[in-house]
Amino acid sequence: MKIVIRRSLLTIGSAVCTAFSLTGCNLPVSKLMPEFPPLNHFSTGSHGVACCSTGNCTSSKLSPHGQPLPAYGHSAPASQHAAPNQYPAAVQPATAQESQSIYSLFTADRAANQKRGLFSCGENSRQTTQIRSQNQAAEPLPFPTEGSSGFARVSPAPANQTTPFRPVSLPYGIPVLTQPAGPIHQTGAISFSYSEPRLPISETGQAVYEADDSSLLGKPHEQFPDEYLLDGGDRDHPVHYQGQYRDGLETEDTVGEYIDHTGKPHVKATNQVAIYAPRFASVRTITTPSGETAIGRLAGMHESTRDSGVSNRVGPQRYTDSQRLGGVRVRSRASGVITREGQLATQNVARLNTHEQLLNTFEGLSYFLRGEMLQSNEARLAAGIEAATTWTRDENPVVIAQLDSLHEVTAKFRLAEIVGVEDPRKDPGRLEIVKVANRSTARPGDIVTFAIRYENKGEREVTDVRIVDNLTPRLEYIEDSATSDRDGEIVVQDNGEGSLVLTFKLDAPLKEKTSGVVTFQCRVR
Amino acid sequence: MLLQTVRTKRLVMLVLVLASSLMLASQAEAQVVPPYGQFQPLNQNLSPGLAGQWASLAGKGSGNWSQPLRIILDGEGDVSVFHSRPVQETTPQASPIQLGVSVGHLYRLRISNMPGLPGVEVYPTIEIIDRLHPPAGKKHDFPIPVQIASDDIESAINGKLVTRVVYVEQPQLAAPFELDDSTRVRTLLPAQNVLQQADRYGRPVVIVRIGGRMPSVQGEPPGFYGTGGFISNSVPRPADPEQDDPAAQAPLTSSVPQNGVRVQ
Repeated sequence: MKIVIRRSLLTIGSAVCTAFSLTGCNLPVSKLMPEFPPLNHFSTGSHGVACCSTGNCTSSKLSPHGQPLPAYGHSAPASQHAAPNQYPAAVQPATAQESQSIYSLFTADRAANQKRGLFSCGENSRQTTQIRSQNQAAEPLPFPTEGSSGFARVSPAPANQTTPFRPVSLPYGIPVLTQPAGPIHQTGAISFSYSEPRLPISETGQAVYEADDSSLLGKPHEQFPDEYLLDGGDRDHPVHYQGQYRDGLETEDTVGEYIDHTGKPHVKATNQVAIYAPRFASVRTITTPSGETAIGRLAGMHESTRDSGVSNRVGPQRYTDSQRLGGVRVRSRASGVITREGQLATQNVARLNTHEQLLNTFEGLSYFLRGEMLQSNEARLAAGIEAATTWTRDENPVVIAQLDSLHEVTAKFRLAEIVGVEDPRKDPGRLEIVKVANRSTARPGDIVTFAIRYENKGEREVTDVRIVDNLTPRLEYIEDSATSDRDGEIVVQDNGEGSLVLTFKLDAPLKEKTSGVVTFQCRVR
Repeated sequence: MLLQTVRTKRLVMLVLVLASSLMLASQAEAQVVPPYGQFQPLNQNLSPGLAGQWASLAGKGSGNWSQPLRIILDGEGDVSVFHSRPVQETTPQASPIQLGVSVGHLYRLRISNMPGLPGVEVYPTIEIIDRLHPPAGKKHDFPIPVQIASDDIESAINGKLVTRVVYVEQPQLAAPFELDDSTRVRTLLPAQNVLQQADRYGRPVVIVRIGGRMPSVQGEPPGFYGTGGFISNSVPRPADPEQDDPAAQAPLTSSVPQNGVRVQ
């Protein structure tokens, strides 16, 4: 009977599983997106199922076979994707020109950059008071191609245009304007250095140290930060938000701020850029070598007098008190070994006598001793009674009857109840921000070009992107030296410590898998 | 014998307690509590060479590191350096001169041929108490500048002692402007501990003492000319920073893959 019942259950289970697989509902539908056009049915080839099975889904990091998909600039053509009306526009991959232009900024291929027009021009750039690129209308932003005018391009602004500074619409920040956004200035080709000092590498791949220096182990800018000009990162108190205000932005700090699709503000610090630029100063005193020091030395002779007082020992007189040697004999007399043995023998005899009188089991009960029944005796008696009952128990056969009833499970799966599509964009917008400089060493007066590259690594766009750099006091911002490859503004504020706070604000949201670069120049003080 | 041993121990303990109490009392008299609470055991009135000796004991001059030093006079003049044992003197060269010195040692200089001061020679001392840690290959490009001002020499000629401590500025405490000759040096009161103040503003690296003391014609003991540290050549490379910075010419390695490979 049991065998029959189990077979029935297996048959029903397989039937239910088959029904799930036929309707395509074996995929987890984690979240429904009503903003996307609903599909009529989930069939093979619809979004989410067919896309992943063909391996062309740009939102996945791995293909079904576990192989990495091509980079953004080399993903499959659009014709290989699903139909356009089945893709949200926000998940389109970056173009090949975009990747090429971004990465070419971080290479030293100056000739290639100049040929493409990246960082190349400088004659026709002073035309606007706002960081404004030519690609305002296109989304996603097209990047420079052959023959374009430059990486950080500008567009003419109206002559009567007022200050481009707008009140900050973010729910945080303290927009204290000290200088409106200035005109953009384009620079030439830039080769950027490492953000941290690195040892040169020999042909064999080994780090090359100075011949007579064996003390440097680890990062020198962390061991001796006073010799380096540090900028970037988030030192000491972390940058954070307290209600409507931002706190913790100290000098040297460089962070990126953005708001994700849920409206939550985020802050992300850059790496730290270390430039070897020690600065020296000195303090001095001018004294007259008069008798002042001589008097001081004579006063120092005082200490020798004290030392002689310390050595004035009277100890030797007491040390020769040889009468105390008699005390050594006292030690043998004071031996209590004999007395101790006697006491032990006495104690043993007394304990044995006592135990002989008390070691009867029943005499432990007060009822037997004093005729009174204590509650504690009941437990002992009950234990004895239970033991006796167990010994005399008759084992009877026990019959257990169990009835297994068959239940029929019926379910209906209606496709019409599922509306919307599964959004493949699982990751929220996530900004990664890197800062580099074009020099690894500098002297006072030198000009250093910094570049900050930001990229939205997530799968959703981020809004209100701001790059904030609180310059260290030894860096003097060169006016109108800021460039950007995206539309935005730069706000210059006084940080109250002798340097400035640069805030690059992007006009448009930053789409997923896109990036941008801002640059500026500073003079080392 | 047991009691004698106990008495001996008590006596030793008593002597130790008395000695420690006396030492504490003498230290309390010797300490000068600075206004900001940081104790600096050294001062400019201690004998020359002591700070360098302490620096050597502290391991500041690690290995055979030769610290480049650049001696700069405000005006013109020739500079020579006494070094090594037996004492040797370098050939006088016109200011500025750059040479490598050993950390922890005291060197004596001779400054001569100063315009406007015919026949006048000054014998300052420089004491190296710390070193720099430049990137590999940049050692000679960033020497410690030791500037000897004209008024320092005038003060020495007038019989005064000028003690100057050169320090590496603490970046967070650095003045937010470019330093010039007037702001690069601060003159303190004679009663102030110049080493303590330099330690407050940054990291002291060199002590310079300029006075009127001159070697006598009968000769001076070797200690007058320094502690016998060696010197080495230090030649700065051309001053073109762009060409001077190989890292600036090197491509940046990006962590973002392009075409499946890392960008070199």
